Amino acid sequence: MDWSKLVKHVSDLALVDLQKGEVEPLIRDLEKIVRMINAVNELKISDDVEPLYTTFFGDVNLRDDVEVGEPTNIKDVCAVKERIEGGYIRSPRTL
Amino acid sequence: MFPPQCSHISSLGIAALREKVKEDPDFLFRYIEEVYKVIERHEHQLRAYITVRSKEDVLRDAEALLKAGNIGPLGGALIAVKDNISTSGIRTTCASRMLESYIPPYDATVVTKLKNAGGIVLGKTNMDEFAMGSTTENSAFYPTLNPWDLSRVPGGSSGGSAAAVAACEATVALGSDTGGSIRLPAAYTGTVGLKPTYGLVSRYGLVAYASSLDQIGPIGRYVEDVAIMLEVISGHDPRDSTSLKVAVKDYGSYVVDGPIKMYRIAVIEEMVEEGVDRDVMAVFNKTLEKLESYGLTVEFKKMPIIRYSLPVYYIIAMAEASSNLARYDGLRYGLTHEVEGKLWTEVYKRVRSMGFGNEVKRRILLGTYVLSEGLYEGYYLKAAKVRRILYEEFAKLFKEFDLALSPTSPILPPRLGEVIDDPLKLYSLDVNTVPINLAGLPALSVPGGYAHGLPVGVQVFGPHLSEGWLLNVARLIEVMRE
Amino acid sequence: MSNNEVVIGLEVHVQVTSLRTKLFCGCSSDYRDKPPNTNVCPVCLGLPGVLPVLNKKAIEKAIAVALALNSKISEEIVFVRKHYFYPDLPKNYQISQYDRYGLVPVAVGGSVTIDVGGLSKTVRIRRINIEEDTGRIVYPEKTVLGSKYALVDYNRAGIALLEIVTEPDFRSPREARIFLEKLASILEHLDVADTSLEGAMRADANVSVGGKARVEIKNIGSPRDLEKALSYEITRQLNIVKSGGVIERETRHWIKERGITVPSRAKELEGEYRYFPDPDLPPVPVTAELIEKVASSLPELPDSRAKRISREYGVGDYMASVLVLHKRLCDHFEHAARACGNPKLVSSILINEFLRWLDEADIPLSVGILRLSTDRICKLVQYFEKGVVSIKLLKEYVRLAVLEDRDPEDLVKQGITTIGEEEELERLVDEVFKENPKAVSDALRDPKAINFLVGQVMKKTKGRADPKIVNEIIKRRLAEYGS
Repeated sequence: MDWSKLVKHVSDLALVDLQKGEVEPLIRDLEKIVRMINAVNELKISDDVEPLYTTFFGDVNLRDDVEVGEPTNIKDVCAVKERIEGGYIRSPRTL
Repeated sequence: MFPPQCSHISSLGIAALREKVKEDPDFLFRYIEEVYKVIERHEHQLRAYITVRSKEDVLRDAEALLKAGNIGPLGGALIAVKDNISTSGIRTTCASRMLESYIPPYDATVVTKLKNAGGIVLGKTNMDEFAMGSTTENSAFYPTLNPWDLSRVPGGSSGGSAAAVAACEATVALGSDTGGSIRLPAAYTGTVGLKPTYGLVSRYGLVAYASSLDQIGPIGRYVEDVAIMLEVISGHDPRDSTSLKVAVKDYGSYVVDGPIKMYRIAVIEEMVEEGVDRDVMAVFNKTLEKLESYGLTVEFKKMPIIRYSLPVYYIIAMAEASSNLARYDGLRYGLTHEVEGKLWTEVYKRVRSMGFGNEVKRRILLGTYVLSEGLYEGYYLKAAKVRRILYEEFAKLFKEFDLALSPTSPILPPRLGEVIDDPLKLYSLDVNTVPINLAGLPALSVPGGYAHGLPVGVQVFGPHLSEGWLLNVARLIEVMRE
Repeated sequence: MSNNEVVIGLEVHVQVTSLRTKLFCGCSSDYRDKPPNTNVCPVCLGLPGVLPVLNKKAIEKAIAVALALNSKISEEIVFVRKHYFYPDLPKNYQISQYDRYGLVPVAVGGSVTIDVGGLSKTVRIRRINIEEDTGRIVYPEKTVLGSKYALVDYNRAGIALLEIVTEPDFRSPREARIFLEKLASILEHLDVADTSLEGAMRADANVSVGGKARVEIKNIGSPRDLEKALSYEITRQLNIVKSGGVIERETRHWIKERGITVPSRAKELEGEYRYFPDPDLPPVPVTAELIEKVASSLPELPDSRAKRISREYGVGDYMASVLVLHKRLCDHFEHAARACGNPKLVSSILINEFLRWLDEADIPLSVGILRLSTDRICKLVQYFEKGVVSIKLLKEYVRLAVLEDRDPEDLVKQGITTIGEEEELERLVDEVFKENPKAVSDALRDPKAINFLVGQVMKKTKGRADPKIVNEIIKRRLAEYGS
């Protein structure tokens, strides 16, 4: 198991970088944790067991198609006022 | 029995406070002064809070409450709210640098309900960052100490809420529980903490960690307080698709000193086997004996699948966490970073690397891993299937039994630094609490006794919507302790 | 497979414009023309702690589309999270649907039959999804490369989208365009979406030539653009092959203003979406009752409508099929045909003249319908039938109505009518003959050269002369000369 490669791949996917000193300890911890979660592989489960994705068993709430509530003022949300330009939110380039 | 920080007035329960305030409205101001005195004296050590509202603001709220003649069931109670529950206009940080300056523009549904019921938000409590942890040592700011022994942890992730309540720095508190985060700190601080049936309490406004497991619940010094709080915060919320449409029960009516029913109680063997501290077992066994003296029956049952709860929990929780935390990129709120001249991937990486602590990063990376191409079936899908089996095992169990008991934690509250360096050690604190969240069942922790001057918690859990019975049995245990 | 066989598949994203609110929150769906970030709420901004709640009506709209496309409707609506990081995606995941691991879209299968030059072709539908739309990114310096940063507006984030994916059944850009037009018409007739709204319908196309690598083209906004983009891309690929190159499997962007496709560098790491079922949205059962309720109130669809119109108004299958392409145009036709009579004339006016001017002057259909109202059409029909205007002048009237909002009645009052009286025209013909002796002798020798003389009369009358009658008069005169 090439852990460094794995960590690099996953940190690119999740856009979470690690400092130089963080990688080794993380890999050690990951090895332990992955071993722990691999325990599920011990279990033989027949194909017709339905996965359980939620423990909510009531009537799912639905909304009527009517406007509700006041629109949010973006200035209340974005603490850094400099980020708002003409009502838009500044973001880094995408190309 | 209370830790040394408490005084007579500051240790009042909700009902007692409410009665006194009804008799003499001015008493509310004296009460508030007293609680702030406790905070002034002890908070610098305990560090249970991240934000404490100013006394002036709280007194003003009290005045408005009294003027409106609406002290409600909470009677002016001071509520410590875990810092992952949105409070409009009050900083909500989740104990993370990522949200250090984030002020929500809206109240969580439970906060609105509290305020409407005569409660006053006193402050926001410390926690493990984004609720990931079991000792509150993962807070990005500072750890909270256990009021019973300042060299020990109060548990987590709702450690601040539990410590504040235990030390009488609040009347009662709200916490959140994904794998034991209310029950564990309640056990370690000698308080009562309840995790409701999944869907009973609205999650709208709770900053999500693992959406299919998270629930908000009350922590109090008394079983009755927890019952009163549960009644206030539960109920259908149209803003939460996973909110049950059930009538709110009068939970207070279950808090009586005798058993409402001759409960048949189960103890799952795997929850009391080796690995459980001898002192913890002693308290637990004594509790069982005392319950039997009421005429309740206790029987031991095997449930082998429960051994897989920890891996299943961590697969599901980490996967969902990696997804729920994807939104933190610093554009719209929270920790920000210069955007000019850079690509978005670069900026996001910097923000997320600076804003998240180690445990959070660990879980995001692992969660991303288990969901990634080719691994979904082996991990998430498989875990979901085991979850189904576990769920059905519990359903079977509760056809035969009314309730079940276990020690909340296999050990006494650890010292600071003792478990935090070894992730598996840390995760194992939750071994008895985690299966409950997987099945969406209600559970509470109530102090069963003490060992070496430290509280020992007993976990009581049952089938869907059995909170009333849980509170009843908890009351029996509380009475027995007295 | 022949060396140059073209295979095209489409992924169409349509906003469900008929909903009043967004898919998962109570914000208005009317986001266009609002100042940036003023049509948002904590839910569609993805603030910490918020939760989605599904718009009930959206389910009905999706079912209606599935029924119209003959797709098999799933028993449950299941939502998944599709993860990728992008500034226009507030939660950095999109709530959408998937079709693996036991997770299902709203509907699978189905088909649409199109008419390609008289031949019938069946286009198979692979699946129909419901999902949420993203915000919009704009650039302060108007060009991407000139700007140091971008600007994001979340007004559109959370708008309900239907994704309709076809099998790769198209063999030419024209087929793809015809399909997209028909789909737009079906959606309009269902009262699901008004695709004429800006950004309401976007298509991505997958195209391969001669069995080589498949290229995806994104950012196509209309059926016409679709045909253009595909034609361009096919030519581009053929040229590469001809010069000995290799076609790369890639994603390209259609740049409408320049009429080309360019490689798209956006959204690297696109392949790893890490789909899993959204725990905040438990599955919603789709009951037989609900399907029945939607089915029983389905409006008339384009195919049936075309048949009925052809039959009821006698305008012929072709005209009927063109009319139903735009519901509002067709509604206008039926209204006018009933009010004014002479449906053949009305349909001819609308299709041959009205549409042409809308197109050339880029006027929206809704504006055009106001200008060429039923009332005005009735007047036109009257004038024509009474001979007040010739067919040529009728066309002119339509042009003036659409382009300059002129009422036919005013035009008549101004005297811009057909000169049909023989006397007047004979006098004019004589004038022209006198002025153009050479043309007359040309015409005597070659009958086709008459047109020049006709033209001169038309010029003198500023187009008002009835060309048919002028033609007859000139022929008679020439015959007289000849003898």
